[in-house]
Amino acid sequence: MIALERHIEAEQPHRSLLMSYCSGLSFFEHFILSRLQTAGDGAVTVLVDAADYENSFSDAIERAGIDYRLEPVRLSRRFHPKLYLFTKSDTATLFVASANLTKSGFRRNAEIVDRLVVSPKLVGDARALLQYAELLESLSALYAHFSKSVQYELARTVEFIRHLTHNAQVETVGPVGPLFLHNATTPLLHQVMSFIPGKDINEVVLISPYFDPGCVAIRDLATACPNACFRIIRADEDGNLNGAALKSLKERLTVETFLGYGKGNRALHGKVAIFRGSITSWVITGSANLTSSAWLRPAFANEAGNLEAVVLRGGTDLGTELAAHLRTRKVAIDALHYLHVKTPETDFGRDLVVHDAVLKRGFLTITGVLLHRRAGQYRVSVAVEQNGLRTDLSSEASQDDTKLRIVARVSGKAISDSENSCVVTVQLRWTNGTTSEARRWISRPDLLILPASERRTRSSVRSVCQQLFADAEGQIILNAIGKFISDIGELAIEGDSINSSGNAKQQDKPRTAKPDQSEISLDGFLTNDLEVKSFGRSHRQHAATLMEQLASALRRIIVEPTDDLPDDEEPEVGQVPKDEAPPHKNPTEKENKRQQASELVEEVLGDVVQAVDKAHLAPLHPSAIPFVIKVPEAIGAFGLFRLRVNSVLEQSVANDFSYNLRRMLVSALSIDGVMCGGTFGWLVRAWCYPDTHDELLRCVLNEDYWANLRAFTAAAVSLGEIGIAEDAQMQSVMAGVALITGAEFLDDDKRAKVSTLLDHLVNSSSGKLERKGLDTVLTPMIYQNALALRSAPRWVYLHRLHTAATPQEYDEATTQLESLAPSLLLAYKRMRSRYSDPLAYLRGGEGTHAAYCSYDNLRLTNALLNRVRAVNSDFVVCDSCHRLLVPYDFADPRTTAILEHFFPAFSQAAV
Amino acid sequence: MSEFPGWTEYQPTDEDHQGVYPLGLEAVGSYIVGHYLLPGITDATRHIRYYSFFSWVFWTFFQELRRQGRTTYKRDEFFNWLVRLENVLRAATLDTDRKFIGLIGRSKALTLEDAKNGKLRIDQEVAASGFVPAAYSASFAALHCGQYNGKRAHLTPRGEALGLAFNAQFAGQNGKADVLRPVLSKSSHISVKTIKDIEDEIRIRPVSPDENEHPLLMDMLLSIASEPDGNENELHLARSRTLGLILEMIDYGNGTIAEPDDFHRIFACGRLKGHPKFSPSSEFARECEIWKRYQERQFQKLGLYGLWHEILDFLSTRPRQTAPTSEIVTHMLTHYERSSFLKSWVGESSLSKSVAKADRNILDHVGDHSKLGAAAWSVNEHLHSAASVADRVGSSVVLLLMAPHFWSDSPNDLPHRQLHNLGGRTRLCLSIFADDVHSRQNDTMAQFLFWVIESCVLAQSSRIALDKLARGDFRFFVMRDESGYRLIKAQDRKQSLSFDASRLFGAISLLRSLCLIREDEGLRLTSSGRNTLKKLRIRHEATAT
Repeated sequence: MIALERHIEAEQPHRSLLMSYCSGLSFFEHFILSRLQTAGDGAVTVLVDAADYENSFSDAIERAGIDYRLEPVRLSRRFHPKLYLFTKSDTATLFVASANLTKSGFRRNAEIVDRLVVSPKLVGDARALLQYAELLESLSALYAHFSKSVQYELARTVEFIRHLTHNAQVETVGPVGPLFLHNATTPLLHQVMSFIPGKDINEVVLISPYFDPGCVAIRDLATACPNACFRIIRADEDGNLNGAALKSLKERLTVETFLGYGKGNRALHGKVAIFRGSITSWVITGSANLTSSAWLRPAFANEAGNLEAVVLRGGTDLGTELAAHLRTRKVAIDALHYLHVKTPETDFGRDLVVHDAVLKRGFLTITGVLLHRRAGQYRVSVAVEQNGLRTDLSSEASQDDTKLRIVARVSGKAISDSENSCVVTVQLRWTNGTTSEARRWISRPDLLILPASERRTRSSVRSVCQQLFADAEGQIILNAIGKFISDIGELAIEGDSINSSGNAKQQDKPRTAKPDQSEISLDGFLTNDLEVKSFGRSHRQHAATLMEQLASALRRIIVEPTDDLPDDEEPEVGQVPKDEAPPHKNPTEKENKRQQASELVEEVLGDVVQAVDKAHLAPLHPSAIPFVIKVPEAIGAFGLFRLRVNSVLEQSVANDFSYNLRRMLVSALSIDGVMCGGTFGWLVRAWCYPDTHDELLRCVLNEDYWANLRAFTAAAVSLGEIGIAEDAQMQSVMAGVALITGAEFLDDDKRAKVSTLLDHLVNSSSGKLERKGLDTVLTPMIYQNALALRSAPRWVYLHRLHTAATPQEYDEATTQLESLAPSLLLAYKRMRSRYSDPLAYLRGGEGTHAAYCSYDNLRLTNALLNRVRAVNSDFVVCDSCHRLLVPYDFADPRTTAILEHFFPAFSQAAV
Repeated sequence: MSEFPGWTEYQPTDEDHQGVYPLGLEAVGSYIVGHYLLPGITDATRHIRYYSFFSWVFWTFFQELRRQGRTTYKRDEFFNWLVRLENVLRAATLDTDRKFIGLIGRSKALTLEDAKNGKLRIDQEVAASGFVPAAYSASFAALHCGQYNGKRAHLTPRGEALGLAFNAQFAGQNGKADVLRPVLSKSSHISVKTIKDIEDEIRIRPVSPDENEHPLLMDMLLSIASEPDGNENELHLARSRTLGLILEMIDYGNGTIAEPDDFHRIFACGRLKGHPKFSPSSEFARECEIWKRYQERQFQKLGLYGLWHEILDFLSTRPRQTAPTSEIVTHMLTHYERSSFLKSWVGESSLSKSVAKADRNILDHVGDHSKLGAAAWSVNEHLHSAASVADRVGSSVVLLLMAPHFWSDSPNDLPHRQLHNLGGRTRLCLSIFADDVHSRQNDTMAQFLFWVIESCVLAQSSRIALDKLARGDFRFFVMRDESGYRLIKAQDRKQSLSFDASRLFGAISLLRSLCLIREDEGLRLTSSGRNTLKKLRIRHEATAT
């Protein structure tokens, strides 16, 4: 017997095209989809009958339009084929089945399946696969309502099959098969009887769960095979076969009721027709029930039938096995009757068909067709529903004849960020008071295009976030973490990186317009691109695995949908009767689960720290910016993630993460390097250099980056627990944020976006963050608010005084300095009387917390350096050369660029 | 030879499963009770004396080991010991009261009438043990009578003291210790006379305040005197305060409270019918607020289960017990329109009214927010008593419009408001449900009902069943199948149209078996109960909000 799920799993396809009359999509998402997205593109397209598509809105669907395309097919009758095509680089496998894409179809019913394969070694089924490709072409040509993406998928599949079968020797005639038959334009019976010599057939075995009311299909088959005895096996269901209509065939007909096959209580859903001649037998299996809709009519015609697909195989002794082991019971034909079951139709889609609804770049574009125009005008309303939450959208509609195009803006709404399926309902409200409605799962091309590996990463992060956070908070944390983990897999530096050696690329001048020929130390650490890439990929895989394990561990800790409710969840003690397996957790087990979850979290965070450190070692290059720009966002998100996990596990936050969180923020965003011995964050350095400056601004200007950078960094800084007013390091970080986000970009929309984000982050912080505190952190940054910048003016004016070329410059600088730092001016003048060059500028040692006196080139002791950097000390004299130590390296263009940004007078003041 | 074409393999599923909780909503209420109100006890823990008895079983077993100079034992040895003593316990208890309620294994228990030649065989496991997690063993550990140490269980000092106190009854009376000897031996049979001699000492019965066990059991359950164990301090104090609240409510009811439903009524309405408002003392106000949040959640849950049952009933009448969503919705809309109950709350032709309008009508009907609980209670009563499908659908819809107001109209500083976030979207927690309903204010009631049926009932049941299937349990009640939803298993209406396990029954029973309350045309405090209540107030004075 065929285990359909195992066969599918073994395929590991890159692309899948699935057609089914109906679908249990929640079952599909839980148990099938992940098996189709283990390799390559992992692209999955599912086509279902339109009526069933309507049922999908009451299914627990989460991934439609996100991880797979779901498309309704609206034929005159039913779209009834069950065709599951899986392709990878050089292989195409098509399962032609009677089984719908439901749990019953895959696990319970008695279903029939055939398989057609074409690969470099297997070309026997090439003809059948080409016939399948013809079906796809027919569908594309005859069915007008496919979305563009599905049309593309069908065309791509046809092309792929043609390419695969290009070199195969395809027989164009001959009955042996296998042949793939469909009834898009020609009835099945005509095609079948063109291969099978009806007069030579002795016996026909027909297995089907459904029949047409007048048994027309059976009678036509009987006419086509006039010498055959007929054995009909029907499902064990009252009212499915009209005995009276079969009276004329009574002499050569037996009817049996299906009782079972193999183990279990199984319902018959397989459709098989076996034609036995004296030498050759033919077997037809697939979707076609013994109905006139399936066998006697084409799908695209005036009197249309269902669209069906079957495989015909011919050979000696074929089919014996198929009918041999069925358990059946004979029934009298007279006792059989047919019951009509009337199904009411839904209002949805009766006169309005939505072809596609695509959410892209903040806009939802809906295309459709108005099948029946009503009198008067209409007003369009568009509502999107996601996870039960409904959002009404304002939209603009345009109509060209019957074609309708509606565009709605969704940027800024929660759905545009979310990665869960959403449904759009389009309603046309006519002036006569009636309405036309249609619904559609929204497609997200940006997510549908993700390759399998990335999809897995995001899926695992999503599982964790769903366990930890409520909807909105969970989504923004998920986005930040998901993007970070996914993108690190792609972290590789394209082209040549900027380096300090000068042999890779001539360094352009810094972005300041001031001429400066000095050599700048850019990156002390150069990492091989391939090494970064390989690290990123392995990190991504590892992170995905960890997140999956963590989700599983958390699921067991947090309220779960169990049938063993916590009515008695406390631990058991002592012995229990042997026969009763204790379903309850004991304290050790409970503690172990917490411990396990805790360890996983530590491992995840350890990985994050490692990944961020590695990212900050990446050389400055425009191609690295799209990734590194997300790092602060990820740091904040992981900080909150950690906080929530600790809250769930009832554990206190480990200190080392707070330490690491601060360290990572400094590595990313600090402007502390303006003072010698400090550090410039990676993004600050990128802002300073022309090669990366523009790309950085381009990324920052993106609405999301801009807002996320501000909000998440503010959250991360606030998690640092010291308080921005006292925390010089975090002041430098926020100065870095202010530097690269720039006040000039602040508009109401962005302000509102940041505000919303901050609210979400506060909500997701388990009470740790307060909105007021975050607002304080985001107070517009002026140089007085950052310790590293606060003393800059007096040193700038002193520098200007010292380098004044004219008496006027000298006088101006003196006046400024007199008001800012009179004692410094006095000291300078006193020294000037002793030394011609009384200033000793500090140099270099970035990131190493080391600085050198420019006068005697000696390294300052740490204690002395700290005194120089301390803003409260007015000035410090070098122990060795006895000159005034200037803590700002005005020769470093990064310093001058940053000072100029925060201290506009600098451009006039500095030389 | 290729296996294709061929029949598909059957993957066993048990469609006649024993699953419960089809919408998975119960976990929230149970979690609240289990973690914030009555941790450590359940509705199965009815008799306080089981705790002393099991402590004694352990104590005697360890004594016997010590007597033999052993430090280790095999799993079966303790198991056999437990079986023997539980058989004696059951026989003794049933000899006094043949219909004793709450005796674990009663239906299959050996009685003295099963004795042959005056002897009863006690070494065979004939009935279910009370020492299983679903009965007493989990609670035994949670109340710190015993604890695991690796693979073996040990008595805690409390368990040891309880075992000793239980044993003291035999030791303190002339000849009883001798009578006990055969019971504690390995003989397979003991005489009926022996059982009768120790019947009162060993059987399950209330424990009166003058017995040695009583203060120990009081401390175990109520933590009045001792400071609870550090790790789970708050759990024990929460239980203690909740039991204090229960005593206070019984005192308030003064005989008019008879069953858990009366407590639920007070949590919902703030009073009993015809009584003044119940105001908890400040020591127990916290727990009372938590109960209110629990109760508010119940109305949402019952509204959803009300519709769920109508769907199951409808599917059971369809061919192949299957119907597409559209047909299910049409059926519900038809009955909605016929509901006179709904008309009285929402007005005529309400299907075309907006949700906002229907909501306003309901709120007008209720009066003000303070009466919402009482109004929801009356709708819930109607849901249970309504004879027609139409009125059951109507009651459910009214409940579903009322419930969100417990969240959306309550102040941000409402105590324990965050409990309405518990379970998140997967359990359709009240805060999320309220947001969802709010986002549909402009929808018609027809669209609202459509959404509830699609998203909150059918999709929710699939989601829960699939979650359970993922861990290997087939628990579908309805399933997406060809032509719509197929009924897999019908469900007893009473089972899901009830409040989430509140453990109130267990709590009342335990208090009764400690002789703190008595049943006298309803529940009343005994003098001991009144004293205990006073002590509990003093005990929790410092933590009063």
